[in-house]
Amino acid sequence: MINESKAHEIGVSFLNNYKVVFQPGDVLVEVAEGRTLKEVINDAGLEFDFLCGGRGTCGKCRVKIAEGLTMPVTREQEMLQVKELEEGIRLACLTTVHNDLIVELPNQKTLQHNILIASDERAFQIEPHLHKVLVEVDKPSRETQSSDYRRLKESLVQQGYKDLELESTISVLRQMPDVLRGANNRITAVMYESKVAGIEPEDSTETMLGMAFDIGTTTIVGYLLDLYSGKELSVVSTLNPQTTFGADVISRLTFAGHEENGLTKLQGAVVGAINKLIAEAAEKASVASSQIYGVSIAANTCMHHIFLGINPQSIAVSPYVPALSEPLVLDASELAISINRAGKVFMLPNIAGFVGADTVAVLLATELDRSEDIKLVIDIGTNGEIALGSREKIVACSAAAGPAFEGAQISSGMRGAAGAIDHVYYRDKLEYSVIGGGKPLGVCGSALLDAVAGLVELGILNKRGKFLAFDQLTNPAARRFKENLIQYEGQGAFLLAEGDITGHCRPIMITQSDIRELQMAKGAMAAGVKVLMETYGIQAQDIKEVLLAGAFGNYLNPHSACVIGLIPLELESKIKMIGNAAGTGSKLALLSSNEFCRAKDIAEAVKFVELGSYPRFNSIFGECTYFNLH
Amino acid sequence: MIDLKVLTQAVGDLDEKTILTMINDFVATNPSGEDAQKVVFACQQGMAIVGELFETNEYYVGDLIFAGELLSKTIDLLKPVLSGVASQKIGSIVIGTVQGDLHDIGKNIFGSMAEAAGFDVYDLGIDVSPSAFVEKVKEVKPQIIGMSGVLTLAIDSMKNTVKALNEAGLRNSVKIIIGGNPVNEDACKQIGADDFTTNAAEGLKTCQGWVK
Repeated sequence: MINESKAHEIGVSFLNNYKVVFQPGDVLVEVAEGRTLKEVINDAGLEFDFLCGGRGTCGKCRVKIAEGLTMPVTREQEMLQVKELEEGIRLACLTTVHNDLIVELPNQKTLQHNILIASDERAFQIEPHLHKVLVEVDKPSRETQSSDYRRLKESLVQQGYKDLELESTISVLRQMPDVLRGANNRITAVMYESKVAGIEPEDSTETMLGMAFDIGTTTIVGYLLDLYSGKELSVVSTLNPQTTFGADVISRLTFAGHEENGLTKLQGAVVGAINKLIAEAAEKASVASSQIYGVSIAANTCMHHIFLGINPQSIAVSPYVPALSEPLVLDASELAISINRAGKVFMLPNIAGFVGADTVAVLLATELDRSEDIKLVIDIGTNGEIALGSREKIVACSAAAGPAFEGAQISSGMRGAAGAIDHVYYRDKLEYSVIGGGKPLGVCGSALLDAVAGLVELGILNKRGKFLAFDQLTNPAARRFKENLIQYEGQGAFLLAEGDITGHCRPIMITQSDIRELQMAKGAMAAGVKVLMETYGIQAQDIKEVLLAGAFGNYLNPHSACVIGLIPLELESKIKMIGNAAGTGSKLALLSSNEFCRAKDIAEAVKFVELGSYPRFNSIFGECTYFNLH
Repeated sequence: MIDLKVLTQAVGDLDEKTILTMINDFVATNPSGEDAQKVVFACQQGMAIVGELFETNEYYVGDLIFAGELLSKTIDLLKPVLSGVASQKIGSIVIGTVQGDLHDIGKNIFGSMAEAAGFDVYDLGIDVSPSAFVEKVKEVKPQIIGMSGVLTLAIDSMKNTVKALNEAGLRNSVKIIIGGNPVNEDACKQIGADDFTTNAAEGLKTCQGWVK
């Protein structure tokens, strides 16, 4: 309907409307001629993953046109195989509507992602931000003529609050007369510092809950916690719904800056998801969301800005400064977060445009600021955040690894979802494991690492990342995989699964250009590590521990990561996976006001290194794209 | 006398040790400017081999970066014996990473390959404003401008640069090529550039075609 009115507005009412039906689910949408299927899918609110943000560059948004098939556009012809084109496979972002269509969307199961929620915990002291105080307010009397608020304040003073510092919000004042009288003057005051944030009838001091969030570019995880005991009551997670508007930070930035109401749409999507998760977490734990008084947010800088509705454009252009890096405490109601109306939102601070509050949370969780030993902390993603340091100092950078580790721009790549090959083993013959155990649909980042590491170790790839011809192979063990060594588009490639055993009947392989993409990605990460070591003034052997945070870091095989040179080879035995450390940091900041303050200190103390302007970066990067086993 | 064929092959093989030894030995003989010019030419031919090996997927980005650095090292060593020799240039190019972007790997690779191919290359560096491009074009009157960028938002800066060149009345005096990750045919049209490339070697061929 929106399309129709838009068409009228701009005076193009001669454009026809068509019916598009999406399968499964028989979702019918009326569409103005010329709209792309991507726009239609988004407008219809259907869940669909546009890996490259719908720019027609990744070739992954395959849909099947069951009825109403039209000619493919040139880019589709380039990116899809002839067989696929004949079968009616098209790319949703490139296909425009010119007649009625029936469109089959891929199995929703493939959109279910493995979201990492587990993590290492550490000891800390619970110091709630908010306090609940039971007060027996004096009854109003003819003698004193003391107002409700006066008497409330007097009761609070008896509890140790200072009269002159006490403040209240208008919404509390509005509730006050009824609450006091309704509860016979026995009420619970919810205090944030010296501010009465809320009042509730009777004694409600028994429960005070909070939710800690880690908002990632791809996934959002929320932990419902008891703010007194620190106990976790439930964990919930979802794909970040902003994915519909672009898969990575850069495409979100572009969307926020270039689309009409782009920022509002993105903010609405994330706030909506947070509220949904709050309701879901409360239901799971059989509590009411009104019992939640605090929400903490750890997010990368772009997600942080969008959540607050602050234009993130400054991050996108040199010198890449954020609009805001300070920690914030805001009213939940101001941000339309559906928790208790006295509730607060605690925003962890950012470090730089591409090293955000999620990294601060990771550092808080790992206590790098108090570590005697020098540790390397890596969160591998599209932008890999890397921090190196100890209690002496911490340096950090962001490496633009690109989306290769997440499966984008890899010919058979996909995210770590059901159907993804997640690990590859070079035994007597090639073996692999598939997430969910079904037929393989593609490779995710961890499998790409395993596959390439094996090729490097077997000498099938040379130092420069080039596939060698079979007769050039010198390692006898490599000859076992003769049948896997194939030619694809005139280049060498390595076959993981033949088309007859895959879920989509296309072969799954690692091509020469996939190797190139990986070289760029791992080169960027490894160069980041090198630059930080140079800046810090240490060698790899001075590093006592390598902590891998985040989903990808958790699932990868450390040996593979070291063989391909993503992590310095000599550090293999020092690698430790710490799970969703950003989530842990977010929890700490929510449960303890001291830890929240410490996050501020960490953010201020970390020295950010901009790789782009580091003098020798290019040659370091060039060196790091090689595969050097020795 | 230095064996030029061996030198060309050493550059093609990216054999740093051999190249630097040969060049140092050569400079020590206090050669004529004319002979030095021949050595430069041999290095340029070696760079052409590097370009070919890149195209056949033998070499990759790391090798191109290394080759570029190797070539500038070589030229620096030769500079004292090259002075006073009028060099034959096939054309001139002003290059830079556009405003708001700091990524210069691709631009640098292109720059050193263009230099090796005999172009006069004026590299304005990174985060180059439209006005800086305009000023340089006024000053050196190049045949070609090369704009580079990696961020999607570089497209906007490229557009602004072309606009500024138009306003200064310089657009029609130059050919413009854009390079980098976000460029494609659509972007090229939108920006008003003459051609685009995501590959330094291919971009160089385009430029060579323009000055023929």
